[in-house]
Amino acid sequence: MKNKIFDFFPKNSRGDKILSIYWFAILLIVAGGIFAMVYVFYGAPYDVRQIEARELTNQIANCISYTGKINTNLISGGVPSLSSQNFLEQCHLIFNSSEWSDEQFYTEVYIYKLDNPDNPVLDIKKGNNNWLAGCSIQENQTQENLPFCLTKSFYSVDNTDNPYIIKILSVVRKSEKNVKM
Amino acid sequence: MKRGDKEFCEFAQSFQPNSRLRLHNTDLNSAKSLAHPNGKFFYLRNRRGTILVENVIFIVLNLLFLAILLLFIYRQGNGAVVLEQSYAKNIALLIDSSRPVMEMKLNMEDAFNLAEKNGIKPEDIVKINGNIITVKLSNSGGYQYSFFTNYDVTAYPDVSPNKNYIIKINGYK
Repeated sequence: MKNKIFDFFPKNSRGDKILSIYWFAILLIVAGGIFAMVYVFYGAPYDVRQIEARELTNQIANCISYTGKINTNLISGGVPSLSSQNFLEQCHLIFNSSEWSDEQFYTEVYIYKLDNPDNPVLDIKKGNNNWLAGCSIQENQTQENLPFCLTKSFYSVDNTDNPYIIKILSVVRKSEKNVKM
Repeated sequence: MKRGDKEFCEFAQSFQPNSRLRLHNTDLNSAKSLAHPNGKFFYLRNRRGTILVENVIFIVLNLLFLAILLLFIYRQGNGAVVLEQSYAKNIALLIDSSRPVMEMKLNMEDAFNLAEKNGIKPEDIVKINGNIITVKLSNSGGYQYSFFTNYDVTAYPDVSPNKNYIIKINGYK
């Protein structure tokens, strides 16, 4: 049987047939590689948490100090106001969403006087503080599966021109929609 | 048998690719019978033709394979799932970075074309419900993404034939 099959092809063209089998195998390997690469590339969602955290920080910074003066609802005449309780409503932010069972954001704002940078005049903490633990883990190296943390600081003055330094920490989780879990 | 005759037999055999005639190294007469009186082989011309056709088929199949791969990559990159996610996140980030009373015009030509192909109306592509954006380009559920600003937002398609979507921040809620 084997001889009959090989007799069908002349002796000198056997190499061509073997070569075509190898070529077919190479094509399969190349196709498999490309399918795998495309699957890995398009299977992973776009990670926009960095931009989202930056936008959250900008919105909070604009709310605290819009034109270089600290919001008088927060600090007025060097005295912190108690109205920071409804900070999110004042800043027109909403951390709840029916898309998620729990809040996916967390923010901390610390306002220090320049002459006393260790004790904040006012600190505001809003959102789901469960995500805060992920920030300390990522101090040296960012890990995609953990929430994204961003810290920014800037200077501003109150209505009586007292200078302050304001530090904002923004944490965005939303890992399921931004990272391949 | 001379060494030259043996080589001649092998050479004659190589020009008989489709023949069931088996030549042995010692079958000098059979080998000579294949040869033309002027010394050239009868099958020489046909053999050239076979090589050309085989090569053309080989190249065409390779090109076909390459084209299928490129089509696959293109379709993956422009698929409904990828575009829905891209536009939903894009719109959410635009809203998060905006202030009332901004009006943004977003070019969504790819989305309009794909939605038309899948039978989705232009006004059903982007829906904003509360602080959740839903982009739908196929008959599946679409893709949802939320924004964190407490704005009253409306989204509607631009007048035809413009393939834009207008996102309007009406004010605070």
